[in-house]
Amino acid sequence: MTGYVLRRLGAALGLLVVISIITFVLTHVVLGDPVQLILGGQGSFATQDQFDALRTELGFDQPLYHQYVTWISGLLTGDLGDSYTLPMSVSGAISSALPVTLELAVLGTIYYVTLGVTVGLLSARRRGTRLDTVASTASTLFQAVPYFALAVALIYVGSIVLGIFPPSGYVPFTEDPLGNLHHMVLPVIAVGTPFAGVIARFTRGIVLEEMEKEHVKAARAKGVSSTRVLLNHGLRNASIPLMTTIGMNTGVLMGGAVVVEEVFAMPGIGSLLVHSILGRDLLVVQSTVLYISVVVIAVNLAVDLLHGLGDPRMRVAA
Amino acid sequence: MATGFFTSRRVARRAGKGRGAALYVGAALLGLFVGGAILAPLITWHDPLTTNSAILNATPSWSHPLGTDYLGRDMLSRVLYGGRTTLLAVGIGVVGSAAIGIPLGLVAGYFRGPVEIVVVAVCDALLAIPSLVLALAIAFVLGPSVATISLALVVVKIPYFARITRGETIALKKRPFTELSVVAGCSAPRLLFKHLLPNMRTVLLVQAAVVGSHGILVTASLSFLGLGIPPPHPSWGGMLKKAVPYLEIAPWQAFVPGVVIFLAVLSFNLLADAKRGES
Repeated sequence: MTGYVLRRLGAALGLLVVISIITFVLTHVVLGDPVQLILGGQGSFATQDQFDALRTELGFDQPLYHQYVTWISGLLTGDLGDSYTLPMSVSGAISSALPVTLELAVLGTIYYVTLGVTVGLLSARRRGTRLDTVASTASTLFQAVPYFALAVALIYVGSIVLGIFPPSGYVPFTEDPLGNLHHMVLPVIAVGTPFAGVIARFTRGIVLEEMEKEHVKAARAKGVSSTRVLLNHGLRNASIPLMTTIGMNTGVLMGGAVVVEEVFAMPGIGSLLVHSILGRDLLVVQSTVLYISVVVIAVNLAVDLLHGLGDPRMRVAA
Repeated sequence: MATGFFTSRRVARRAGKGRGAALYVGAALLGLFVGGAILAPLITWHDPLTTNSAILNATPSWSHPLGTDYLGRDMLSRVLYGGRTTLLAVGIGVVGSAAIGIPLGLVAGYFRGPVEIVVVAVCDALLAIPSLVLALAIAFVLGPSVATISLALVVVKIPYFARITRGETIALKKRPFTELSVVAGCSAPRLLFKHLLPNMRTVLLVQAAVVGSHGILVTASLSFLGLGIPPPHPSWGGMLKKAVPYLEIAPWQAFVPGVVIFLAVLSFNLLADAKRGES
């Protein structure tokens, strides 16, 4: 197991290095001169001296590998310099935004897994009935729902028509737990619903596949009820591929969170990214992209390790 | 379909029927969008950019079947012309990522070695950055335009084709017909493109539909966030964004683009489902 853990960790670290290089190349080589970006292009009123001074101050006159090393060591020590557009440091901005996004992602995952697995199990149990048809159709439709369109629809129904939920904003959990959850309801539904469809179909398929196997026939022959077989044999064996799917969905979910945060004006990492892109805040953009990838890789690493823990075959295969 | 626990012949028949319906509905929807985009000037005589202060936020009527927006612009014509840019960007995204990703996957899967390691590492890295976030970063670097969206979609979706093609190539390489072709003196490019590629047609078509569905979402999301198609040019995401402040007095302005994006994503998803059933 130790060897497996070390190999997975090494792979994750390697992946992060490749991502950091891609991000750096994109923002430094493709983008061209960041100082021009900050002070404004051709029509800028800044003098050549001011350009040069800012270039030296921000370290853009250094060779590229030097800038890369500075950025990476900043990421490791937490000192990334100051944001150009916000009155705080880059790491300060990211560390205050990250919990908001993580909460949205965790609650969204709990919501879509609960809903999806329940619906999937129900349609597997009642396969071929009207309930199954309705559930399958609903799953197909759910999967096609765009987060931001759903978010706008939820604001319309939940805030304007019914007036139950706040249309935007965020309250930290530590200040007001109930208010926090109240603000979270609509965003969580918006970010999770498309995945509930994915998980429902996945659960149904994998559970039904499991039902064809010998151990299920043996259990049925012994007289175990079909509901128990479904839960103890079907769902249990489906849990590992289900977890892998949830891990793979994390990336897409984080992408969805970016848009949903923007709709609900939540001060998360997505809003930070969008605003720093509009404000051309280079340092925040490149660090935010990297941090989002760190979350995605960490979740998938955790899934892999759990998988290895539960299934010894995994440790040899990968 | 194997008979067993919960199966019956009725169920099998129903599943087959569902796939057929998915294909027809998906194709019809996509056809409707493509047709609407191409024939836009014939369907509506309204210009998508002409504002009219006399009919701000008008409800749907005969002359404006989908109503007008907050500047009095015709919604139907904005949906149709917005469809042009969206479908163009998504089309370039799908074709471009397939044209780069498939050969990469073939080469990586067939020759293995260092090429494979590099292709897999870059693909894994690109996949660990959420598509939308990577597309946002590219939009940040290149500035908002249709060309940027298309390029972003190509870059973001290359791994989707490269990875699956590599996997299929590795699997097909072990099949007797591949060995036979090698023995018969078939060159590597001929083997890859004439023998292996046609055998993964269904899998790749499913992938193309999946990429198309993601492409619609990413394009609309970028425009919604103000980083896609620059205003005043119509885009589905932009229309939805601009409708939010008027939600209370003119909800159809949000309803129309929302449903349009939903149906466009659905059309690609249904096509993917139908093709998936074939394999």
